[in-house]
Amino acid sequence: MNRARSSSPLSWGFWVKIGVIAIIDALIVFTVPVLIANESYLLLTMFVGAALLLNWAYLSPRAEASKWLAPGLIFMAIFVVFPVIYTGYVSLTNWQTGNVLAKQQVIDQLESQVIRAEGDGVPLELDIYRDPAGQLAFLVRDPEGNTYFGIARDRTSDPIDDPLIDPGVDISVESPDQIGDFQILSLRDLLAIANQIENLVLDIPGQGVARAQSASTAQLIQAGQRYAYDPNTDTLFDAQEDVTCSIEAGNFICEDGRRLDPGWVIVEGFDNYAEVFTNERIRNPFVKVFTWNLIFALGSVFITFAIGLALANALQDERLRGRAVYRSIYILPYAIPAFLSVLVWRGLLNESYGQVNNLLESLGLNAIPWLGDPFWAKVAVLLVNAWLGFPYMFLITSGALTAIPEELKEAARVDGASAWRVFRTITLPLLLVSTAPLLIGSFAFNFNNFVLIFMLTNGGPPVPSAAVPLGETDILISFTFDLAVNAGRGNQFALGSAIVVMIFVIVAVLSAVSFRFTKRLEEVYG
Amino acid sequence: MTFKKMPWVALLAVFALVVAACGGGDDAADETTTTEAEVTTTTAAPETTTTTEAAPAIELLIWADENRASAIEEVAPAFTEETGVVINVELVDFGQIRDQVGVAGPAGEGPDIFIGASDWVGELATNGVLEPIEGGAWSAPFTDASLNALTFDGTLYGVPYAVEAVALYYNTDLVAEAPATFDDLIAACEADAVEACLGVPGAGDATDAYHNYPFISATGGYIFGEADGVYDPTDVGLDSEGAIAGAEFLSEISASGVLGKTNYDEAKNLFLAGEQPFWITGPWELGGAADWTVPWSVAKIPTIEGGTPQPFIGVQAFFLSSFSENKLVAQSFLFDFIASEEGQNALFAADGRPPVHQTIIDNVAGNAAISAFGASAADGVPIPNIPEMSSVWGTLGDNLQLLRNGEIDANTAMTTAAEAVRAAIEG
Amino acid sequence: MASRDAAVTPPAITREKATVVERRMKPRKWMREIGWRHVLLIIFAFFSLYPVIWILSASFNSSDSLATARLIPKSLTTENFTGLFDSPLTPVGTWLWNTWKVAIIASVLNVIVASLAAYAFSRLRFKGRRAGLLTLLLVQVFPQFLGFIALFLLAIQVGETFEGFGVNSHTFLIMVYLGGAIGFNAFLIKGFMDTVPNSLDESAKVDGASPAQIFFRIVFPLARPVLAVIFIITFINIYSEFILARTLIRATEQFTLAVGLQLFVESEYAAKWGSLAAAALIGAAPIVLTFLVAQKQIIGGLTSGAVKG
Repeated sequence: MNRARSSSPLSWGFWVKIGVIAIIDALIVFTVPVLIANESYLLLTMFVGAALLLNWAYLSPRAEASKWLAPGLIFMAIFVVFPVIYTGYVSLTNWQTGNVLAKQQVIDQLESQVIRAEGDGVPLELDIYRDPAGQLAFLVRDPEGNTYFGIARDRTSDPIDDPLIDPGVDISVESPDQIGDFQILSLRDLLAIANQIENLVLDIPGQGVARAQSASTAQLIQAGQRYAYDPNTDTLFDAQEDVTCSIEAGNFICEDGRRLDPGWVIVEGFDNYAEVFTNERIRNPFVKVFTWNLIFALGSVFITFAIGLALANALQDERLRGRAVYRSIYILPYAIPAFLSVLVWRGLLNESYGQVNNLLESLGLNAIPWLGDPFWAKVAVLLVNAWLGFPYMFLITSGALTAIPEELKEAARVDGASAWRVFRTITLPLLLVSTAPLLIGSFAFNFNNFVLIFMLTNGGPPVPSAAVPLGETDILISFTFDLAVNAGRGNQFALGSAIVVMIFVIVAVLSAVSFRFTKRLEEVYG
Repeated sequence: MTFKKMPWVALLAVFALVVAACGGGDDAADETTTTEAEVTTTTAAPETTTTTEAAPAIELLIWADENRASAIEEVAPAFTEETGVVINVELVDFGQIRDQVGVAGPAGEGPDIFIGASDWVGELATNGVLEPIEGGAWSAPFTDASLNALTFDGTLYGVPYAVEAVALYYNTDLVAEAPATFDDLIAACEADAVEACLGVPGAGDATDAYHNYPFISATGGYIFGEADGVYDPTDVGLDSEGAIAGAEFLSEISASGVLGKTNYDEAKNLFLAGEQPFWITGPWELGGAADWTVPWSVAKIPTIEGGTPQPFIGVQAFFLSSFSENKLVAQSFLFDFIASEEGQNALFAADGRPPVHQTIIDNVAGNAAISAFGASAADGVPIPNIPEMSSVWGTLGDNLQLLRNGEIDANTAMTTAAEAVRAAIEG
Repeated sequence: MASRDAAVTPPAITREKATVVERRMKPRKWMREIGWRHVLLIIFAFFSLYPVIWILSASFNSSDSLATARLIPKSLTTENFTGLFDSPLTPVGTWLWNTWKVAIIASVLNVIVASLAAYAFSRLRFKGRRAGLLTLLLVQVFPQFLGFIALFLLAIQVGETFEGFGVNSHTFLIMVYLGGAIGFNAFLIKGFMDTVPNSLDESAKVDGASPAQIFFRIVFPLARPVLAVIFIITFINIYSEFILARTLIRATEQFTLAVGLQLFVESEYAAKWGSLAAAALIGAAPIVLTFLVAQKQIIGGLTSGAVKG
């Protein structure tokens, strides 16, 4: 990026541009048939969309701004917007425990089940033989010592009339290496054709069929598939119970009232959103949780910004010694993965043996129930978040402070303004203009700071006599997500997604409002 | 920026053609390799009698956490040697396995076999992620309790290898012999005039239903009604007479100071510092026991008002994914190697949790601690493995925490918890 | 100090002040102008270091319990550090290399792409500019980690068509990180570009410079201090991100450090604190050292950004 390139037609920069676009286009043109063959329509849409945008942006003379925006837009669309849309899609489905597969996967699984009868599932010992023609034979031995040897068939084909062969030797205790033309298969040879053996059965007249389970075991079952799906009527027939099962909300429900698991994912519409509004378990604690959530997010932004700015400001003076050391120390909390430092903080804040209380006691102060008391737990959450977050604000405000023209401050100082006044009337407003989006972003991040709450207090301490698992430091995302993930029957992932979308809307509205406010700020000072 | 567009387009077309011509070769090559792969996986034909040498090795993918991975890697070479099947182990954080198999499996990216715990079975089976496994010769040496814990709705899922249940650690300097009843335990503390007596996680700043369940079950409390291994989620027993009596007992010993208001680390610290003679927790602590400075031993949890405490049993197991494309191979590995004595031995050596294979149990009979945990597990009840259990942990733990901290009484705690569970299940 | 490639090199303005050496000042004046700064800075240095000291202590402690740790462990050991590099199951060295590779590539690209977009928003006037800005910000309000399932499914689809670029690939992870922070960073850079006076590029425009020339010769060099800060922030965020990484990366040898560290917290009750602390410190050390050593450059960049209006 040392030398600017002109876009005039004859410069080599122009040719490079054309070349790059041509290569990208060619690659995309190539992948289209592959993507279609793989049925990756999602990717196809993304690729074609990206290609169209790139070509338009760099070939159309009218698209000046798009030239600058296109690369960013493409990556944002794929990696940020797409997950948002996908979460929105999930929120409209019934994705939950028992409904995670696709319909075809469910049908495949059900159709692979076999009829079960009394005495079924008898475990059999199995050995597999092959003759020079490649025919496979099973030797099975049941727990009572009865042995059968015969040609195995594919389980979907018709039974062989007379499958059993007289081995001509005693096979009741040991399996010989050779029976007639048939040679026993070694484990290695056998597993090499495992996928074929899986589908083989040996008919045992009067008892059922033996189906291979592993290299050395088989299982006695009744021939016949239990469930059969009829695509014309979109129903499932249960041959064992002789009933038809029809579809209801992503599951097969049989005439005898059985609901078959697994079910599959279907689009249900806005049921999950209705659930959020109507479910009293979610609605009742909402105000309490939301209030704390706001305090937590705003408090975190304010505290970290104040600390970061104070430190950055204090380090502004070039006469100060040890600035490099200070700066490096302030980077430390940022450089250690948060999940580890939060766990360490948890230990430090422990009421009885925690080092923070030891320190307080050695200073003659009382021990504080940091994580066990409703008030102090909130303080602890803010304290730890201050520790985690101030380095970020420190870095940002350091950058912003140096970008403020020194002359403005000089001028004010010449006019006799005090340092504080200069800071308040010149530095701070200018700083706010350049960091406002950052503060909004920080607010949005902290509003959903699930990891911190989850690892530090897990929402606790619990609220006594709450009808739902609710803690004093629960924020919306931890409280509602806990309800959705630890629901009455496994998890309700779709409900969780609806909650995420709604919280997203709340934060987006709050951010948009503050954004308008900063616009005003910008018009005044910027 | 006002020159015409035409040359650009022409140029573009030329470049596209050039690159297209170059790319064509690669693409064709790709196609051939994929078709080859398909041939070998689908047919593996009987016509070709000597395909085994040429065919690419079958691979099994196993998800395990760090401890178990090392045990698997110990057993795997023998299997590969004998069968030519390559075993790939991917390290996945234990808690992550449960969530990820549900996403990765259906999308075709999941493992063939994965490590897990018995209380996952209901959820995973309901999701259609688990493949049923048939018992047989391989399962004969395993304890019934371990196989029952892996049974959901009458179907067995998984090959077990270890069992976990909490028991009572005691300081042999402070306590001469293991107390048989809780009265003995309290008497032992009084005789020693120690400051703390019994440490159990789940009070102070921590929620922990798991460690406190023995108190609820000793007096006849239960979570879900059960008959023949099938749970009834409409029968919630958290506010049954027995459960409230157990909570009452918890409340009494908390108020009297016998049971400290401890979280996990506090209970552990006090025990290791020699300031607390009794501590209830699980066998996972045995790994670090060599470094302990206090003399210790393990026993069953003493009886409470004549009732035997029934701790939760969790069984560690290998599961087969229903999306495995090599189920027969995978089951051969599970039955012939993992379930074998050698396999179970290697797992015990690497993991150290109490075994469930009869031969290994007999082998370690000399290990007092392992035997004590085994005995405690023998008294226990499996963690209900139905999906409805998800609604129990949080609310039961919260209420027991508040109860032990002295903020609510036993009746409130258990009725609140029971109502919350019922409300969650009704939806 | 002076940036060589900048068309307009702003004069360094605060040099002469630095010649007043701290210790030569009179005590009262020193206290008023410098001393209070040290007091504040030391208090927060203590705050900043407090948990880190405990992590350091745990890393040299032979017992694996964080709870029983003393500040000065009873038995000092370096096993936690040496052990990390012995076990083939936890190739910490490889993880570190992966982390640096992913974080550097992603954050460099991120800063470049974001500053391109920021330039358009700051300097060009086009239809939908304000709406676009707002959208950038609002979309970024959605926490990317909550969309991990979508990204995971996308990775699977990519892997089906482009072998080696889906799950388990650093390329995909880099692109995810690249996309993840662009909007926000663009917004931030735009804010700073706005504070760079327009008069410079106006005069360049009069001289016939194209927008590209203005960007590369004037705005980009001037925005360098901010870009440096944003680079560091993006870098560190990626460095410690683990929710997406652990979803998208499976193979041990492909792990980033933060994902690998999770393996030491095997279960709720039995974490390997010593190893965890040691690995975290090994991970944090290069960042802090880099910051300590390269500070001249970073801060040099910062001060050169202050220009006359």
